[in-house]
Amino acid sequence: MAVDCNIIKVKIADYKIGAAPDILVTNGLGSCVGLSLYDKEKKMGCLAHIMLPNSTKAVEEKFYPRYADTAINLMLEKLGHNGCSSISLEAKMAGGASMFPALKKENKGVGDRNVEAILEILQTHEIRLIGSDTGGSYGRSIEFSTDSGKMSIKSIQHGILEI
Amino acid sequence: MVFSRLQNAQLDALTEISNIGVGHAATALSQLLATSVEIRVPKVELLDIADVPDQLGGDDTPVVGMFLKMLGDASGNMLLIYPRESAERMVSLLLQKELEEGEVFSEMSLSALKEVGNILASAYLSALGTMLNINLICSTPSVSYDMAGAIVDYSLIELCSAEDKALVVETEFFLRGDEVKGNFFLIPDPGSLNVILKAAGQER
Repeated sequence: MAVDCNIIKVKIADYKIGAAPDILVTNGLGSCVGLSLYDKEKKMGCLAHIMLPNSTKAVEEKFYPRYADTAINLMLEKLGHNGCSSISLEAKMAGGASMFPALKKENKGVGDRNVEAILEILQTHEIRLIGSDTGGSYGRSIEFSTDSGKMSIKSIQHGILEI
Repeated sequence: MVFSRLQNAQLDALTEISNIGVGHAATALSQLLATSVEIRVPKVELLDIADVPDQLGGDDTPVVGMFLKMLGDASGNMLLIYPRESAERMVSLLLQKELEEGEVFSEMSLSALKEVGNILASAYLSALGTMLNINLICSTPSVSYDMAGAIVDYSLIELCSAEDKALVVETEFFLRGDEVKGNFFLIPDPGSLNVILKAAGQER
């Protein structure tokens, strides 16, 4: 990793923007989903650590980064302020696991519902999803390079995967 | 109840209740393993949800984690987190043999770890329940070896639709010096905190 690149950490239920050569990092995704939106012309990207599929139960605005719908709106807004138009954005996501499959209430766990919700919302905004690694029952950590647009996904069981 | 309005006196009451609870859990563990078990006085803290994974030892630190639900008159999530080496030594103590590489993830070992989790959690809840005169039981444990952040996010998801803080009861226990150490966490559901405080005579 180059010395001059900035590593920006995205905590659980948060989102951050970065421009090349920044690397956006989020760790320990279980049923949460790490979603990146990237403008490859501008080499600028946004990474969110999303916890829940929708904001219908949200009581306060400060909770918005937790939910797929509101988080994506916030990301688009922030990218828009920085001159990216949603037409040129490409999305990648990783996470949405079921850490304890025995605890799933129905067929679908929170992880599955997060992934589904994100797919739907991306479609509404006509943003292309060009890579994803979701599901399973293991945790993931991701590094997103705003220089290359590549997302590197690390897990204990499966090593490193690049999408 | 909104967590952030908890007062110091209530946090003290929770610490005291938890102290007795973990004391019972340590006794149970010590009987199971026929060795002395030391515990630290529990810390009861209100943490930002985003900071909870760090409190568990770092969000991408690999840990052996056990997840149990607290059920009955009050509900919440319980987690037992061990560093991998500690989980291995604990299993080795229980099965009374040296483990081979990777054997800590065999069905036998995981079952032994779950049993310890079950005993600790049941002892803790039974002490808590008796003291507060409420009915508390625990679910069967689920176990996973993974990143601490990934293991805890499930517990936080239920909290996070209405809260930005998690009330975390944390204690550390040691066996044989620090050959085996683990952390125990209780994260009550927001609605259940009132039940516990009311039973403890600390209702506002």
